[in-house]
Amino acid sequence: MRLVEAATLCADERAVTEPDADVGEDPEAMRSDPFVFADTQATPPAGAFPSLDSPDERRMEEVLVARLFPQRHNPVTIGRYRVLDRLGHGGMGVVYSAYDLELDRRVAIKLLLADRLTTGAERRLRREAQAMAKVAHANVVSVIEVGEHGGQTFVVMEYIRGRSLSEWSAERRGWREVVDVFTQAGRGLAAAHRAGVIHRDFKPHNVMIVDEGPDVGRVKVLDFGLARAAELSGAEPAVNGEPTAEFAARLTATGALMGTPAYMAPEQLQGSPADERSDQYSFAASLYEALYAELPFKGDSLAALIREVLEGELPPPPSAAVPTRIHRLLVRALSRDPGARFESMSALCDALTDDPGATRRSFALAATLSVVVGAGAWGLGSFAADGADPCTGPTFELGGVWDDTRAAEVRASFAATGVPYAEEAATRTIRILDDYAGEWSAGRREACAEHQSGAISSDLLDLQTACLGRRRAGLSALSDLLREADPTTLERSTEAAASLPPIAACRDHDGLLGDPLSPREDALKGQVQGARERIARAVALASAGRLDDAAEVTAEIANEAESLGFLPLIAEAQLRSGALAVERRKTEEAERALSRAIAAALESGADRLAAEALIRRFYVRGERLGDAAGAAADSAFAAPLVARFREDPYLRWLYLNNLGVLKLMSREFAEARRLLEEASTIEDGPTPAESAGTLANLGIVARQRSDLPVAREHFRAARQHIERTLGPEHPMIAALVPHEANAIADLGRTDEARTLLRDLLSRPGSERSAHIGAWPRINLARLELAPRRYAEAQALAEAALGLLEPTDIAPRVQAEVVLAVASAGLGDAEEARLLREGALTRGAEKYGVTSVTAISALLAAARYADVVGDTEPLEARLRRALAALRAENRLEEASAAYVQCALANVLIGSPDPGEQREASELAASAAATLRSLEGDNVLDVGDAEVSRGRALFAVGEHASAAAALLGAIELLEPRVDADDPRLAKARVAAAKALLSRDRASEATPLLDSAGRSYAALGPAFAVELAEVEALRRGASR
Amino acid sequence: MDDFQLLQAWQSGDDRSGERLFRRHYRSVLRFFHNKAGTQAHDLVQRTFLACLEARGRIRDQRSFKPFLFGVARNVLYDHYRLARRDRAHLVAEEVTVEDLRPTPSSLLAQAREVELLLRGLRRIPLEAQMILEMYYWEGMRAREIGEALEMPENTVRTKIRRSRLRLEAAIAEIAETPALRQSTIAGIETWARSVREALSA
Repeated sequence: MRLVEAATLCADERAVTEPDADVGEDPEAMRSDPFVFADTQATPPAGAFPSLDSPDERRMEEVLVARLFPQRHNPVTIGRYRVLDRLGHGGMGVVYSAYDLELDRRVAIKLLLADRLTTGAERRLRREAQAMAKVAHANVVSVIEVGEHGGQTFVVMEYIRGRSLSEWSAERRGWREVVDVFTQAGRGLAAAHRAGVIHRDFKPHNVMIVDEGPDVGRVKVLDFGLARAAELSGAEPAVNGEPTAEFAARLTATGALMGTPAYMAPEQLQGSPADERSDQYSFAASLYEALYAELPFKGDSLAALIREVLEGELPPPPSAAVPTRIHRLLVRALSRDPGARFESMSALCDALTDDPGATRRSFALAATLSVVVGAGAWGLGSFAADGADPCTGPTFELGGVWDDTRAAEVRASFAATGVPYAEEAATRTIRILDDYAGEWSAGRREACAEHQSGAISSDLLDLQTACLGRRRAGLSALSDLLREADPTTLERSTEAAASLPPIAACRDHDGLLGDPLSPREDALKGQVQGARERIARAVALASAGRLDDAAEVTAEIANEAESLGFLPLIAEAQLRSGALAVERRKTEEAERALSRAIAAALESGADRLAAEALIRRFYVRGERLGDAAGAAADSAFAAPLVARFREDPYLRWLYLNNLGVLKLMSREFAEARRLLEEASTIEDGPTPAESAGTLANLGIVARQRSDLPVAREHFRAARQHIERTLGPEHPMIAALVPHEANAIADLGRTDEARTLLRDLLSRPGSERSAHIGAWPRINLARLELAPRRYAEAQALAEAALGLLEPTDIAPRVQAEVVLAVASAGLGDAEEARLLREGALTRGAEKYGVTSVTAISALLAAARYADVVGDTEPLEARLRRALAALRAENRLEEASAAYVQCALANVLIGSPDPGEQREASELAASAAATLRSLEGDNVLDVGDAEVSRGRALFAVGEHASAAAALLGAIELLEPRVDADDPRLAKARVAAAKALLSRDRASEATPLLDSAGRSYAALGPAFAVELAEVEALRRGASR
Repeated sequence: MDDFQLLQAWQSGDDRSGERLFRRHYRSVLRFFHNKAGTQAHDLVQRTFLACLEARGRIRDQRSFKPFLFGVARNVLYDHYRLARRDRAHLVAEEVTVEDLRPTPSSLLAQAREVELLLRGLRRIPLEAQMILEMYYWEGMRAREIGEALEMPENTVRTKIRRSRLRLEAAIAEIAETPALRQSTIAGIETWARSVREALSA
């Protein structure tokens, strides 16, 4: 506990808060104190050190003498109070602890330095202290007496032990606690104001939290009217924003007033008399600082500070942790015009304690994108455009839903999140919403005009109005969300804005009239429209990332719809519910909801809904549940329905994309490509994220076909589409880049792939994106293994693991394998083996031995088998995988060739000639398989040929080995980075084979290049470099 | 009467001699505690003089009073820190710094940036180094006298003065906010130390 003697008269904060020696103030903390700014301004006058001969020091000497020699001296007293000790001192005077002999209690006495005050100021000071003596309030340090001692004024006050609010708020505090404590102080100020006393220097240093005694925990304001005594003597602080020389000099001379201008109201800085509203300003500035850890206005110098206060703009809220409600109150209390502030301190305190948003805050942060990275397919759940219905919906304006005020609030709330790209995101999102709002108003006006002119019936007007009402509901929900943005909402904001359902659909007369969601019974109309508006809100919630909240709402509406018995509404609610469940990866829930939606829609003739539900269900069945037959049946039903809604681009896009994914899953790549390419041409249906998803799916198809340059182009196009439409910070980028990087790495350009990933990871916010943020790290970590940058790989893999949940098994397995290799490289072989075996076992058990996850992890582990050692279990795993692939009749696939190749590499190191022979056969088979596959497999073939060459060398077939290796080099050389270690390795192997055939002249240039590469790769390849040197010496002999 | 005689008279009950001794050395002792114990400085001054009153045996070995007085003050300071640190039994003055012990910053003197930096620097170097430098610069004590106060050989003190100065420079370099300030403070350690001394003994 920090003990501080409270009560000061001087404004020297450090003296005031001087703690006991055992637990002191952190001297480093002083540097960040706001009063430090004045340092640059305050050059100390020569000889300004207070001497030990000052009256104050002399008094202390007498106090000590009286203590040591009580027989010879009377105790030192001030008035009727016996001086015990000095608590602090500063420019304005000294504070003592003393003993009140009459009332037998401890008090604090402030003794003012006489020469620092004019007579008038001192009179006024005494008058105020006397006024304060009449204020009895729990949050004010009470004044007991004002007196005079040897020509000096002293004020006797209640003695408290505590610490100042500036110290208190230096520790991390929740905003509620801060607001609560400050409000107590504010009540104290209000009490003083009622007694006609203005504080004039309210700041965190002048508020104490009691640490001891009956008042523990109570907040008390000190120093009413006292600390600004210097000002009372009449110096005008500032003229036109520049501090007057006199004022600056006074600040300097007293040394102690330095911190104060930071909290002073503009009118005080301009020399106008302070009033209650000046205190309100200082209070707000202090609270602002406590909440946001920075002052509302700052300056490097006194002049700059004053300029800021008088002319500067209040910045947007620096933190999202504090509700914008509080920020708005502070903004008002910090108004430059005192008249624009709250009418009183009490009013501000009341507003601060009024907390209407308690329920709004309970939203859980939710969800990212439904993206399957690494496993192959790209799943998307999204929302279609609304239909319309004939309700007599109320007519609203967009004022209060989306207008300039809202836009400004959104901008402020974005800035408050502290997310670095908040500004750009706000600009982008606001632009989209402005356009949307403009379109909405135009739609309303046109509909009205057409009705007036008799062009449309009243019924149709009603339908249009209701449709627009739903659009407004969605916009309103999104606008509300954005006004209280957190980083997740912010990330999704542009996407959410772009995903708002089109206004144009509300002007589509045929569509509106044919909308099955229009009950005939008038009684139902209101309820249905209400439910649909809530669905529109839920959709907005979902697109802003609040998936769980949205799911709750739609589930609720679905229940209500069931009890209403209105089938189209049931279908609509269940469809939304199901689509959300897909995004939330609640597969069974999704299938259940979609099935109910299909039934309800078909029964009520709502074919558009039935079509969408079917399309979504076949995706769930095919991609999530692996139910190919069920998926095929659904898609067969969906096709004719889609054909009927030719004019609905969204439905068409959804069908093509999802069917494309289905074909991708069943490895019908040509068909998948055809569908996805058609989907990618549809422009006005899907949202930007959905369009990018289609492009990414095309990339995956190309990758599966080993069409690497095309894959790379698709992934890049997808990324650029997002960057263009949703901004370069959108979380989907983090999901797309690893794909792009993989394609680039597979093309042999590992340096370029690393750069792309590093660039992504250096973007702000990349550490936040949980599941999605893990992949780029894992991929980069994996790429760092080949050049043996183990420390980097380790750090990345660990960071990735830190982002993942225990249930994210696929990425965990990959990350742990990388981490195992890195740990081994860094010397911890034991840890490495445990990690590797654990990860491989889990991958195989969870997804199956031949799954993409299991094989990919196994190949990574095998590639670095020599780093980790203990190859026997690896060999066994590779054999098992190969056997399983054979059993699945997949030996002709690339993945089988990779496994063969990996097994060959492990066996080459074996001392058993039989196994070496087996290695060369496996490698030969792998190379043959890879050659036979369509697409670009040059690098894979090259790798297999290196394996084959090394195996042949091991079994003594040096001539064939040399031929295989030289062939491999020819394949690799034009594709991979110049210093790729695998190329150097191939060259050395080839050189060895050549040397053993006495072809030294051919070997030497190979060794030279390999040596250069190893030298460039650095000390991690010292052993290889040494081997090359030895071979070169042998070659030259 | 010299200081030792005054002390002996005080010990025999002559308070007038005691008071004379106290007034003679009050400021030196206060200066000693000032940058090490903050608001507790006055209490420690009192305890130092009371400890002198009780110290009888050691006096005969001392050649001059100031080293004796500072030796007592040092012990009082150590006791104070031990007390403050409660269960942490051992205080290794060669390692621990006053900033570790978390004393209070000196507001009395912290008015010039260089002086403030100097004082903060002093608090950041090991306590023993701080005491040596303060005795050397502020009290004008010679290596022999410092040795007597701290119970260490004169040559050791000389080495330690050198090392302590280097440490102080490093500490200042670490905390100086601007290179210029660091430069002016380090270049002027002697000057600043003297100005502090002059100010304190005005």
